[in-house]
Amino acid sequence: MTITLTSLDNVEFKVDKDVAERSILIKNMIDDIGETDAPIPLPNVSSAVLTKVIEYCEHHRHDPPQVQDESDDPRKRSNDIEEWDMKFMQVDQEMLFEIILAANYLDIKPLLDVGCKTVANIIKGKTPEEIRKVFNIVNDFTPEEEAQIKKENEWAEDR
Amino acid sequence: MGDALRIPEIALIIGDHLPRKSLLTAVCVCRAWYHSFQPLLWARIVIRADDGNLVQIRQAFERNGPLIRELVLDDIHPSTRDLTQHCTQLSTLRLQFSYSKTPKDTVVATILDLVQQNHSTLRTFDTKYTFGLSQAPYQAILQCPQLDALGIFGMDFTEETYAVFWRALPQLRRLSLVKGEFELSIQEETRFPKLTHLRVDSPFCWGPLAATLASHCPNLRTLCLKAIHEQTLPSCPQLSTLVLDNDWMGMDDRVQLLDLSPPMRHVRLQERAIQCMDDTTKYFQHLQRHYQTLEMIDLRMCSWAKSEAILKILCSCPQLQILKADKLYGVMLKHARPWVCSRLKEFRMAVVDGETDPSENWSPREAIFKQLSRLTCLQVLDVYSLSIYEPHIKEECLSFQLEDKKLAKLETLCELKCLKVGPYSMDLRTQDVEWMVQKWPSLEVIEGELHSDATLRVELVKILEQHGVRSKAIDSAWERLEQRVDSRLAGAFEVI
Repeated sequence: MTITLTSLDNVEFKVDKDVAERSILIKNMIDDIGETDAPIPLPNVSSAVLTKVIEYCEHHRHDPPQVQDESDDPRKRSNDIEEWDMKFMQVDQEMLFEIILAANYLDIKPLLDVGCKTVANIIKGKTPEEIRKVFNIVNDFTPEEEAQIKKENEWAEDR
Repeated sequence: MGDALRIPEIALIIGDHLPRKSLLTAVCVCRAWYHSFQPLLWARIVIRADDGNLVQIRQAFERNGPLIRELVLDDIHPSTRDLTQHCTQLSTLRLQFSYSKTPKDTVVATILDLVQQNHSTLRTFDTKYTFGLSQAPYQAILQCPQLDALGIFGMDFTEETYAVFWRALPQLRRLSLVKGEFELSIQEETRFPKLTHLRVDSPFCWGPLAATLASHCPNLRTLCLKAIHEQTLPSCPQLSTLVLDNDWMGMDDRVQLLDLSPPMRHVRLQERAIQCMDDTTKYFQHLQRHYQTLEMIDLRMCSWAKSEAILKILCSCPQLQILKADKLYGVMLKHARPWVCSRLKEFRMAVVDGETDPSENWSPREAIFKQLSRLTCLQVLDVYSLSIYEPHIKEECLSFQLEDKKLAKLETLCELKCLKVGPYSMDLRTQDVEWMVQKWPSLEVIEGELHSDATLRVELVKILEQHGVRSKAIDSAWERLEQRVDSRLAGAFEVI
């Protein structure tokens, strides 16, 4: 069975049900309203982003559902991104954050996780100035504030 | 892009993948990032015994105290209160010290304040410091409406004191009782209807304590037990995790426990003091029925656990995550089947590989490396041994050099965090170390003597440091002590 999704800019996407249901949001919607031919509107996601998200869901359509493993280390490691996912995440930054937002909205946990890991890997090992440069962020701290933050966190570093 | 970081769940996931050092940088980037990441940086704070001049960090606590969710105190100084008065949103409070130079009144007052000012948020309280039940902290703790995990140290339990807890805290889900004396009798009445995790460690008690306590907890799922006299296990229908630290228990009791235990999903065993051949043979016969679910076994103190037995475990326990033993002889691998424990995270034992017999086309060293290469989840590879003293024996122990082409087999161990070798020197060369940092991206530390030559050692340390890998010498006296007193069941005892 195919599901029709409508993006923010009114583009229609026809996808297989099992692909669409990688999104828990969509799965719950289908469960609630029953099978229908009516398109599902996704007013928070643009067609460019939705194309990427569907590409991800299609590649991972046969993945087993995620189970919470209590014994696992809660501080998951960042470097264990699958090769395909790594390539998939090689997009410009705007798209990267759009994908993360869409994954959060559509409730696709593995995609959200992979997106966040990618951001974490960019942040790691950089100085604040380098991070600002990479993400195009303006430093809105006064020098005094910045010194203060450094000082109050210095002690917290090796906790 | 700021939008994404402003959503707390997203900042939290990103922060989860960042080491502390990077969080520290991230908060300095801009205001939005500060608000997203500062709470993560301060979520769990340890005030150490050697933190010295607490006045210096007073200001930091004034601003960040309310961000702290878990506070761990290694000691309490008279001035600790100046800091902790700002902690008002704690969900977890842990006291890790059992002795303090600070007068008891001050300790009690500081803890009492902390409990009271976090009355409505506190969910976990764990202490190694002994208070009397009638003392102020407990009176306040028993009144915390959210409390669902409690750890108590050195309290004597009679029916009466026990009743004080279960009447006040029927909502308790996790309970840990360490040391202390127990005088309880079995009564069928349910005391802790919601309790799922119970840990009882080293009590003074001459009766079947586990059965008694567990009969009070119909919903028990995890039982961690270190006791003396246990012939029976509780019949809790939902019990699925069993952790036994059989220190002083006699062999008959030990075997009976293994036999009586219903099938578990997770089994973790710390075995000590199995000191004779007959006992060891008997023990392994009875252990067999748990092979499918065995997750951890520590046999370091069982000097009679021979290579055959260790190999049997490696070949039969698919769920095994932690294996600690004394020694494994490589020659025994000749007819060994492939190791099935592909989830193994910790492998700790000396490996004596022995000489290759030139008349045969088979080398024990190669066999060991081949088997080790299957353990792709391995995080700790520790072949340090206390029972190898003689320097000459080094020839027969596992070497980690590329030269003989064996090390290269271990390139599958991409999760490896810790390599520990000794007491002999590893005599690594530059190319060995470079190979390690390249092939093992998760590597954090190499423990042991990198090279017997001090100048070369410095060079190797430098390479490691460039890749953020620490090197650490091993103090054998400390090692010995730690093994003896190590009563932690490798994470299994983190019940609360």
